[in-house]
Amino acid sequence: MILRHFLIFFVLTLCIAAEARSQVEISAPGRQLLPLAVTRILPLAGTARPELVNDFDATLRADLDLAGLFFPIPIAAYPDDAGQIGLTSTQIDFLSWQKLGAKALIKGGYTESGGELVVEARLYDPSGRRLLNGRRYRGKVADIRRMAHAFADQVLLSLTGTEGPFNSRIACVSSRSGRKELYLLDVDGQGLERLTEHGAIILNPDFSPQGKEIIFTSYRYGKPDLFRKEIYTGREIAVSARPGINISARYRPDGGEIALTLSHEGNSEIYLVGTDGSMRRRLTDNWGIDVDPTWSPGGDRLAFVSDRLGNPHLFTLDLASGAVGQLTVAGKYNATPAWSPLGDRIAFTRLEEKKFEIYTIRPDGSDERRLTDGPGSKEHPRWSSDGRFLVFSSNQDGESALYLMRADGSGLRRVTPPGLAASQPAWSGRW
Amino acid sequence: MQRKQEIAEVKQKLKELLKADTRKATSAPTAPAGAEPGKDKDPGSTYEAYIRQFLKEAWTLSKYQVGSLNLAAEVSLTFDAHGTLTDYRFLRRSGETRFDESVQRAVLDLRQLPTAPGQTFSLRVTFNLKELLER
Repeated sequence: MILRHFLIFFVLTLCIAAEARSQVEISAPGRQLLPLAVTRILPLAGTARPELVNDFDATLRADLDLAGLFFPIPIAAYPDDAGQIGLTSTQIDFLSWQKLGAKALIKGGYTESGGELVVEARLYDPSGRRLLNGRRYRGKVADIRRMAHAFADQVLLSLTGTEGPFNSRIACVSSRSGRKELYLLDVDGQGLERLTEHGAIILNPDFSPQGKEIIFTSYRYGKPDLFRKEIYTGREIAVSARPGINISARYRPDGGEIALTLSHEGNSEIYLVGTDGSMRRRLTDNWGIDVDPTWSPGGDRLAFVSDRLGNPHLFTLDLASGAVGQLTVAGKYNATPAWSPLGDRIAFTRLEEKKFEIYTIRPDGSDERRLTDGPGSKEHPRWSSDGRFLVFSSNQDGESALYLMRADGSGLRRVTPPGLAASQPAWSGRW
Repeated sequence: MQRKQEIAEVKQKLKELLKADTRKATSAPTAPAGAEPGKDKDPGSTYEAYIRQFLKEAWTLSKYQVGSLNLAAEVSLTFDAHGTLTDYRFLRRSGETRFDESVQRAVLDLRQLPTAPGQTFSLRVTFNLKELLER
């Protein structure tokens, strides 16, 4: 009887094995980079402006390289179609691009007249012979790089479903004038613009999620007060100048309120105030020092730094219940948390062998990952609005500068030019 | 007596199944490049390795194109006796458009097997990102 059951079981097992034999599993794509051809934009009318073409090409290529999706097909291999002006699907020789293995093709043209510039850019899928995205940009000649950034954002939208963050701005603190003032620059480090002339130390900028406003702490009046500035009008007001510190302010994701650290009641605690500085309520109440709040994308939770259990660690606070939970347990000094706009991870810095390195962790405290290594300290990580990239400051090249990397720590590149001495970045939403 | 007969029947079935099992058999002379060794008459089994290799190489997807690496799709492929892909069906979609589209593009690249299998056959292919999850 036992033998019979065993044989039946064995036969059934073999039957299942025989049935499953015609199944194939493929556990990763063979090609994890999309072969991309980026042809140089061609003059649609008027005279050629090779310097403009170079700017557009270099900017677009740099953005797409940082995205990490693509394998750039060598230009030398491009077919004759790369030099043909036709931008419509009926004019493009898709077969030649298919033979090259291109999975994405960018073609474009431009017209420049009297300083006015029009750029047309198209993204095609050569295999499907279809237009994936097309944009026409109008502006001044000086806008050429921003047009390229804007189209790079569209390329990411078409190929990933989420618009890129390249046509945005990064704010930072720089001491190039001799004082720590606030500056604004493009994601590629160009277009530097000074925002303040306080002649005093400025700290901790943060962009308004809705408008083109920025909040920051300034020692303009001898102590750290919170200011808000409208970037285009230049109008500026002191939002919170309470006794003690008014620091590490962060806009709530709906833009309606600000979380910041105040010490007017004695100890450093985190408070919620209106955008006009009016007090809403105190959020933390502990003998330890509570600083550096960062909002969850839903605006219902905060992560912050506290030494309430000894060394500085990250904690989370549920605003509705007031419940506080410890997020980090390792390391002797954890600082400057930044909650991803995607909500899935929180970036922060940890002191490791006398220098700070950047880590990310899930909001439940699991899956901690170190993203940086090598020389120098890496500090103040902040996310791009799409959660794809992080900007941070580091002295790894001997001076304080801004760097970008992907959310997984790959693709590291320096943003700011030599001599800017930049630190404490903040990344705007879409501009 | 009856028990002996039952055991004999089971043994016979076992023998037939073992005969059909090519997992330890040697290479078939007509097997396409990349095919797993096999002498059996099941074209799905004979072409399994070729199809796996072809689809893997044709499948193009960046991890930065998808929001999660916990994705999987299952596709049924049907080939005619000449080795032409005559039908494909998603048995299960991943739920993420870009993942499913990349799978579809890879499948459509596999229009023709290099040699004719001589009979119609179907194969189920699962696409997932397990290797990327493990890194």
